[in-house]
Amino acid sequence: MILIIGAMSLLVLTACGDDEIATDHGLTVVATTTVIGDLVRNVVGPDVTVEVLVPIGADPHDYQASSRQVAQINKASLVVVNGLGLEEALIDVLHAAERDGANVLEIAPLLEPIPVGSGFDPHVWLDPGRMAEAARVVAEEMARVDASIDWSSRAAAYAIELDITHREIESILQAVPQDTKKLVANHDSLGYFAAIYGFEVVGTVIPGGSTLGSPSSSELAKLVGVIEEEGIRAILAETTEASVVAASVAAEVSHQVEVVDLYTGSLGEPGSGADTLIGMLLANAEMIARALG
Amino acid sequence: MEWLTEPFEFAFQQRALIGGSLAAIALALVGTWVVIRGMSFLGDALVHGVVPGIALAILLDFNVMIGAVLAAVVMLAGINLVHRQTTFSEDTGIGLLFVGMLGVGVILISRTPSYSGSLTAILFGDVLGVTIGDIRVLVLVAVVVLAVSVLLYRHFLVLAFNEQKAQLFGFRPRLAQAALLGLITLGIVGSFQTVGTLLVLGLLVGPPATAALIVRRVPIMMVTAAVIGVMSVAAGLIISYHFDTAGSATMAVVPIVLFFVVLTIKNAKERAGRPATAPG
Repeated sequence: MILIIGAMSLLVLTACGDDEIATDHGLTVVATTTVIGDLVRNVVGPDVTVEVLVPIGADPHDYQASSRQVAQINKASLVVVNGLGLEEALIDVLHAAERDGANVLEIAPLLEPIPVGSGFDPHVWLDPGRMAEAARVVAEEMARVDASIDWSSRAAAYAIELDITHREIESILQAVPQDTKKLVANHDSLGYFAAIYGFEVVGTVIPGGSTLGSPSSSELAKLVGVIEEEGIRAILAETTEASVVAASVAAEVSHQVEVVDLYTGSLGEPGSGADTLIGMLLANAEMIARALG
Repeated sequence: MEWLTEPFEFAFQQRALIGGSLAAIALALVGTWVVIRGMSFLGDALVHGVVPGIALAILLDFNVMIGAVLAAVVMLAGINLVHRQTTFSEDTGIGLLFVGMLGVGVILISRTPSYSGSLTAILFGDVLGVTIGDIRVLVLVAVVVLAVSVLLYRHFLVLAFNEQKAQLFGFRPRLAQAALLGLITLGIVGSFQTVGTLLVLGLLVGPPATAALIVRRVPIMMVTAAVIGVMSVAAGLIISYHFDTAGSATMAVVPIVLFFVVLTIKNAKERAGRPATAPG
C-alpha cells in the first residue's frame, strides 16, 4: 500500500509541467549537433522545424538523449547525423531508430573523410568546402522526402556563402607566418582545418580520436618538449571541454603559451558571433590568427 | 491517462520498457541478497571493474560478454585474496580492486588508436537503444537468475543469516558464496551492456532497499523489489518522455527517490502510530 502511495505521489508530482511535442503536420528535421542544425536550417529554410539534440556547449562525444528526443528521431522526416563515431553515446539509439524505420542520414562518411588510425576523422565541419558538399547532400535527401520544394537552390546559395567564408578564412590566416603554422590541439579535432589551410598538427593533449581518453605523463612531457622545440605560442583548446590539462601543459612550457578556446564540438551561445557555422569558422580563424600571428 | 500511455506508442519505448523490466527483475532477485548482506559496494565495484575486460575484448576483437566475465572473475579472485591473506575488512579489497580495474580500463581506452564507438556505446549502453536481440539476452539472464535463485534459495538464506552455523547444518557456505557471487556477476554483466551502468546500479540497490523497508520475508522482498523496479522503469520512461531528461539516468534516479519517499512515509506513520505512548 505504502508502495503504491509512494509511486502515485511521484507521478502526481511530475504531472504538472506537461508540454506537448510540436504537433504541426509540416516537415521536421532532427540534427544531432548545433553545427549540423545550423547547416540544415540553411538548406531547409524557416518553414521546416529543425530540432537539435545536443545543446550548445555540450560535447557530442558523450551526450545521451532523452526519451522525448528519441521520439522526435522516430517521427522526423529526416535525421541528420555527423557519423564516423562522433555521437558515441547516441550510436545505440540511432541504430535502433534506423531499424524502426527512421530516415537517418550520416553526412561525414559521404564527404571524403581523412583516415585516422583504423577509422576516419569525424570532425568534417571545420572544413567549409566539405560543409558546402554536405548542404547539397541534405538537399538531395530532402528532395526524396518532399520533391515539391526546391531545396537545391537554397543549398547552392549556402554553398556559395561557405565558399566566400573559406576565402575569408584564407585571408585572415595570412597573418600567420609560414614557419609558425604548427598546431597543438586539445584533442584530435583539427585535422581538416590543418589539411586545408596548410597547418601541421604537431601534438594533441588528449590521445586517441575521442575526448574520452586521458593522456599519460610521458605523453604530456613529450608534448611540452615539442611545444618548446617548435616555439609554439598557443594550445588550441575547445569550448566543450575543460582545459585544465591544456593549461597545466602551457604552464610547464618555459616560454609564454596561451590557451585558446576554439569552437570545435558546438556552436557558441547566441550573440557570441559563433552562433552559426559560418560565424564559428570565422571566429576560430581569427582566434588562431591572433594567437599564432 | 493518455499522459501515461502516450510515451509507449513508440516501438523504442516499448522495447525500453520490456528490456528495462527484465533487467529490473533479474537485478531485484540478486539485489535483495546484495542489500541483506551489505554488498552494495561490491556491486558498484563489479559494474566498473568489468571495464578493462570490455576494452580488451574490443581491442582484441572477441566477445565483450566473455571479456566482462573474465574481468569480473579476476576482480573477485583479487578481492578474495586480499580477504584471506590480510586482516583487512573485505571493503578494503573491494576498494583496491575497484580502482585498479577501472584504472586499467581507462589506460586501455586511451590506447585505442581511433574512434571506437562500439566501446563507448557499451560503456554508456542506453536503454533507449535496446534491440530485440538485447531483449533475448535479457530474457535468458532473467530466467537463469530466477532458476538459480529458487534452486539455491535455502543455501543463500542460511549464508545470509547464519554463516557460522551453515556448515553444521550440512550446507557448504563457500560453495554457496561462490554461487551467489556468480549470480550477482551474471545479473550485472548480463544487463549493463544493454541498459547502461548507471541504470544497473540504480536497479540493483534501489528497489531491494525500498522493499526491505516495508516487508520482512526474503521471497516477498524479492517480489516487491521486482515490482518497484518495473514501476521505476515505466515511471522513468514517462518522465524522460514528458520532461526531456536523459533516459537511463532518469530511470536510475526514480527508485532512489522512491526509497526516500517510502522512508519518509514509513517514519511519519510510525510517529503517528504511537503519539499516546510517547512521553512528552
